[in-house]
Amino acid sequence: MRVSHGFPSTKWQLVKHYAILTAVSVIVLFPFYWMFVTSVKPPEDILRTPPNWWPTAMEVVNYVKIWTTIPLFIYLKNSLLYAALSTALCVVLSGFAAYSLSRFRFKLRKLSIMAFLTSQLVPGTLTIIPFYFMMYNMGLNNTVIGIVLAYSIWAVPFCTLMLRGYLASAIPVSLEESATIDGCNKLGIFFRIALPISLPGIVATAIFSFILAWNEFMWASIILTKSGYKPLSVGMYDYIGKTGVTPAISLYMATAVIATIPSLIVFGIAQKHLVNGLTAGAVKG
Amino acid sequence: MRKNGKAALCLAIVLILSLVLFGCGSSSKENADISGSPNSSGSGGGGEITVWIQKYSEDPGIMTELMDDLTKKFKAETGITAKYELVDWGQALTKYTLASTGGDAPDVADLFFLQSFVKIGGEKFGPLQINDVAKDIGVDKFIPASLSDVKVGDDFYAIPWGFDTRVMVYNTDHFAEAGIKEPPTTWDELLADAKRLTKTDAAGNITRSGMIWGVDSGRFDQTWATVLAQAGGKMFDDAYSKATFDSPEGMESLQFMQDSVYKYKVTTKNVIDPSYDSYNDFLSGKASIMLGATSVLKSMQKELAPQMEGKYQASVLPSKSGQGPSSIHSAQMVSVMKSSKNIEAAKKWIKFFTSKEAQLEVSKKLAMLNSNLEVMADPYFTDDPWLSAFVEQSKRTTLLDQPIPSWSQISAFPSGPIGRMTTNIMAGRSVKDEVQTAFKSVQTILASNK
Repeated sequence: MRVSHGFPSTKWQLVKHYAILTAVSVIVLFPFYWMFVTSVKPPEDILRTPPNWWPTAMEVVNYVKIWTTIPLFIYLKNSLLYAALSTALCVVLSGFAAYSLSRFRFKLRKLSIMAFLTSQLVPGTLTIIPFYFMMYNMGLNNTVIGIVLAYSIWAVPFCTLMLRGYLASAIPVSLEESATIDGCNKLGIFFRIALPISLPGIVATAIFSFILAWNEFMWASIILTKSGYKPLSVGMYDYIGKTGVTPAISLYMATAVIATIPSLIVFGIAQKHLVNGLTAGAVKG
Repeated sequence: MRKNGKAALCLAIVLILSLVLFGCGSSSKENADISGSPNSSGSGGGGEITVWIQKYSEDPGIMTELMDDLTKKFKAETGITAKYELVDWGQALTKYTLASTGGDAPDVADLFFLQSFVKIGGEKFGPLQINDVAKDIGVDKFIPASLSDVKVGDDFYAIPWGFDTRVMVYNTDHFAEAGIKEPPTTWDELLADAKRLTKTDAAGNITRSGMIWGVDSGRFDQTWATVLAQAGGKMFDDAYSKATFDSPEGMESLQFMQDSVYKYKVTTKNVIDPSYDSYNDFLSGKASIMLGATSVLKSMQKELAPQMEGKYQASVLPSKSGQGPSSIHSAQMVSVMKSSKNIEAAKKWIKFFTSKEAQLEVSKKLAMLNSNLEVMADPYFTDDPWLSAFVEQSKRTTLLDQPIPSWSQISAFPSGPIGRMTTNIMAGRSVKDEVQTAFKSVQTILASNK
């Protein structure tokens, strides 16, 4: 029996390979295709049976209307701000925490790792009420700081564990030992050696926390009561009426297209590092 | 390393851009502006109040336009600045629960589940007793059924404004094609019509439902409340001390709903799918009769299915015998919150907002029925064939939200016993078993809240 590794070697294998890839791609991409097509459909096409796979006319005007129907610019700006700030906070905190957990041997090290891990097992909904009142009593509801803290609290443990795995596998201890011999102190090693080498891991962590913050809905919907602070994920709910549906499906989909673009850009810029960062330390050797 | 540097640079640019965007385009003042009203530039001499109201318009722009106009008029009339926040229905229950337990609360709230919020609010939080406001306004002008929604015992904790009921809508082209002249008034007529209207393919699969129940997200509890009323059943006894939906009428109503799918095969099995939306099914011509439609269907049709214009009508829901209640009603209501720092200004808003002039504007802009009989007597309601069906239906309704503090627990969806029971029954489970399970849960909740 012939066993093949890696890229398919025969024509038949190649056909099978691409057939599977195409099928998976169609399944994954279809919702995005449908989202876009619906965003440019004229009203009479939306509930047509059988559905039109391509609109009879392109209603590009929906992409103009969405900026005035809801305060989209403000929602978009809020989302970018929250995502950017919580990404920055996550990267800094996770960077230091992950480095110390991967390099230093101290008394509560294992317990700290367990605590990080355990925090991921607690369902977010369980902590909503106590967290809400903590935030409220500290006057952090309806503030940028409050929302960034709420986002970061959930992202930091996972980012730390992710970055710890990367740092442990990507940076040889001998390199740091050489630096120590050359007179570099711990902080110097972190900034001059560990940080530049672990850039793929940091980029992966940053992308992860950005996308997490960008998609976050629950926290923002609970702790924010002023519309001016809503991120886009919550602001899109403006289209949903009492019955849980919206007649403005085209506008809703056009807004969804706009909401998808920033995370696509961020992911596109650094997807290679995300894969590297996530898989580093996955195998031994 | 160079590539890594580029990626990091790009990422940094994205982060900086978002910070710049924030820096250039925003301040806390601007944030407050979009959340409030056009009057937020100055509070004036009359003080300032915060009003939370849910979104009743399917078009977000209409609700903003309405509230901008009302707050502007209120400012001109009283000198008080009313800053409003549109609350999403998806988060309304959580936000009002937090507001009634010491969290962030408005001065005026567009409440529901009034009994529950009065109870959980206790002495310090939740809605305030406003008998004085009710006396000043004069409650005789309201639909009596709406008044029972806004009272706890003999005390008023809210003033009603909107009125919600469910009707039957039917496709007039399908009716003409099947030779049906009049909408059904009894269950027997409904079933006979539904059988004539249902279309199937060669394999027996339904391609057009004769009738469908008003449902989305697999939620049938509110529609069942209408069917229970049609069967002559009640959810609780008159003292609200015991559930009574395990009565023969209760069982019959649930069996009728289930049989429409599995026995009579006049309703598509898709109703149980969480992504199924009966409004979409009706507006796309895949169903001939929809039982339990709200007035929102009209605005949905205009936006989503302009080709359906003039091809459907509304009528009173049929009942088992053709007599008696055949639908449910609930009132929208406004309350002053106990935590308000400007109670007098909040009361002024309630008087202004529930006035005939303001409510006529609200009803017209939001295409909503009203609890105020003077508003409902306006030609806007009586001359419109679509709205007049709702007016007629409002004469044959029972209460949707039961006046007991534990109602929010009992009717919670999907975790509450009623919602779970109705969804399971529509999925084909035993009516008897599901009713027994739900009955026990409801009795336990009632007992624990005594």
